[in-house]
Amino acid sequence: MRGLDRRQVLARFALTTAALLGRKAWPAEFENPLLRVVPGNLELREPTLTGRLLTDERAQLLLLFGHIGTRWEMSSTGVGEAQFSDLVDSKTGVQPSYLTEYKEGAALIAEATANLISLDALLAPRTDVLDMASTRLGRFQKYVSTEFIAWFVIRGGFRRFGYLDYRGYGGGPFTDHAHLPYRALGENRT
Amino acid sequence: MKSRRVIIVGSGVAGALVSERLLAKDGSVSILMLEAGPHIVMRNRRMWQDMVTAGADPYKAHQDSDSDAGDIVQTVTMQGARLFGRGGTTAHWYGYSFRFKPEDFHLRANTGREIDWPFGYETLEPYYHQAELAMGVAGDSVADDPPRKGKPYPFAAPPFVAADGPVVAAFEARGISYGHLPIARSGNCVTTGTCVYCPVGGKYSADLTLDELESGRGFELRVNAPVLRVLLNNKRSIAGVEYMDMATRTRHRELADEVVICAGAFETPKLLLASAEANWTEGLGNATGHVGRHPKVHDILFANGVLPRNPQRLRHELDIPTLCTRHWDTPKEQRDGKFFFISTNLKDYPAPLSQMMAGGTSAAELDAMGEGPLSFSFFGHRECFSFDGDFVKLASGTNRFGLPKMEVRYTTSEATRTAAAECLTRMRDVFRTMGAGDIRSEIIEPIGTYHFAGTTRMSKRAADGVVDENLTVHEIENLHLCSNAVFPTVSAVNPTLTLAALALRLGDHLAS
Repeated sequence: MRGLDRRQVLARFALTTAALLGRKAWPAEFENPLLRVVPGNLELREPTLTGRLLTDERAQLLLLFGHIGTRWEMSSTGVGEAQFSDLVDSKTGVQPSYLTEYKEGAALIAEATANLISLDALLAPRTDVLDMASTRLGRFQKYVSTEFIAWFVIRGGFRRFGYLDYRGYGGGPFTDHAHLPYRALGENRT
Repeated sequence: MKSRRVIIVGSGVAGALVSERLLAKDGSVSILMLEAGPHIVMRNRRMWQDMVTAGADPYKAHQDSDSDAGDIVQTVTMQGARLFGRGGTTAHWYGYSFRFKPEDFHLRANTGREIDWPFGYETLEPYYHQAELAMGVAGDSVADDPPRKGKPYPFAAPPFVAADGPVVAAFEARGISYGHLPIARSGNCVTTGTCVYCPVGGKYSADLTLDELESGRGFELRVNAPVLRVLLNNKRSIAGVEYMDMATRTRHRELADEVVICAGAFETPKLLLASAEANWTEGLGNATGHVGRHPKVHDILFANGVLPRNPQRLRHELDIPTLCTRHWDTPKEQRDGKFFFISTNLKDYPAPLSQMMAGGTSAAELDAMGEGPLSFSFFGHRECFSFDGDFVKLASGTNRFGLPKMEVRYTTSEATRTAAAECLTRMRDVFRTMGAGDIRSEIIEPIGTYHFAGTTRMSKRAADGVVDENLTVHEIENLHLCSNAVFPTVSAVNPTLTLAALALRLGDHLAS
């Protein structure tokens, strides 16, 4: 614990406890760093700054993307790093760029996991927090995790829930009636 | 041979198809197309990703609002209806491609309402087929109401989805006729379901035609170029147009042998009114006072019903509607306003899966909900008629596209509401037959101006309208109009295929 004062130790303990218990248990006298308010408006930060994520940053985000598949039991649907890269490369390489939001998101994931906060805790909605949207976690959920969930579902995760096709996927043409990408009337395909 | 120069005002589906046909049939023609709005970026993967992951609107910069448009009466709204830019409103349309029926061309003769079209269905029928080919419409070629004369659609209709089953059963139990919804989805469609911004060009939009035109000879398109007025040689002949280059804020004049205004049912009458001069003091073609009058738009009706259980786990797999009924789109219904509706927007979960997940719903909870309530929606249009005293007029000031603002008045009467309420009852009755609960229905107000029409209507006589049967302005030999504005009546169904057919017919006429 060298380098940490007593206040920081207590804060870390509380953070860990809250995450493990899966509920808010942060002592009121300590600031939850994940819920710190980010100055400025809610718009995308530095949208003109394009570029590539560092390897570690990319790994943190891929960890989250994979966890989304695990958490909602979509891991066997074939969605993985290729789909992740498709989205992340596009959103960091083209304006409006998510590069800054993704870097912050990767840092938040690293910080949370270092403090034994589960990824589930980062994904959980926090209706108990006032002005959640302006916090670090709120921004993370808006620009990173919620969009990752949407992309995971669209690119194939929907199959886990019994769909053959889904809005945004593109299962194939409807013109070949022998191989429709969806269940037609009177058909009981599974 | 002297080159014939034609100016087309507006780059939507009408302008694109007039241009395509004219260039194909007359090698001496050169076309300058002037579009008020900017370039619209289509089929951009990043914009598509932002739409599906973050709900971003790819067309935000191209829409106008009520305040942007001018002084709009509260019964209608401009919000979300029009798109300004290359390709126009078909960029975000859904592609429903219905033909009008034969009786729609004879409303006056059949009911005493409005005026008749100067020609009948038979005249437009060949062009309907050509429009279906041009736009890649998928439909049921066997269905023969309205008559198809044995001409098949270019693509077979998507088969009904499994989830249409309960609705089909209710239609059959009630003796309601139904059919496939004809839709402009070509062989490129891969059922992405994000049709409002198709990532692959599987939905027809006018920019596809413009792409071909711009890669060929004799065609030039200028964007950010709102036309301010039409210039005349004399009372019966126009010389060209004056437009604004929005980039430099400078005015320019372009001369032409023919001008075709394809600018929709708001901008077309406005441009005629803005072009008033000594020979036409009330606006071009407005000697008999019909420019900007007779506006009509469909009532938009919505109903929703919920089946309590979904044991078959029916899923919203195809985000393209397939089922519709034109059961009330018949001569019998003409007097009070024809009506049709589609079955759309099935909800197997209260919200899309990703929203449910982000909101904290677990996989197990989603599984449990998977056999839960199944929500169906019907979306319909009812034919409406114009009221004396309603209008589109010029107002002071300009909008951000450099076009004059406008004043719009549109009346909805008690009789209209009563007729619309009857249509809602019809939709609710289907839900009752399905065994649905939580049945809700409403007339969407203010009315969206998606199908606004009639403001420079077609007529045999100059005394009754603005353009003749060839879409030439009465008494001005080389000025033509092609938009929903020329429709004398609007039927109950979406107007775009009829507009496309008129555009191809006008292209033939100009070439001849």
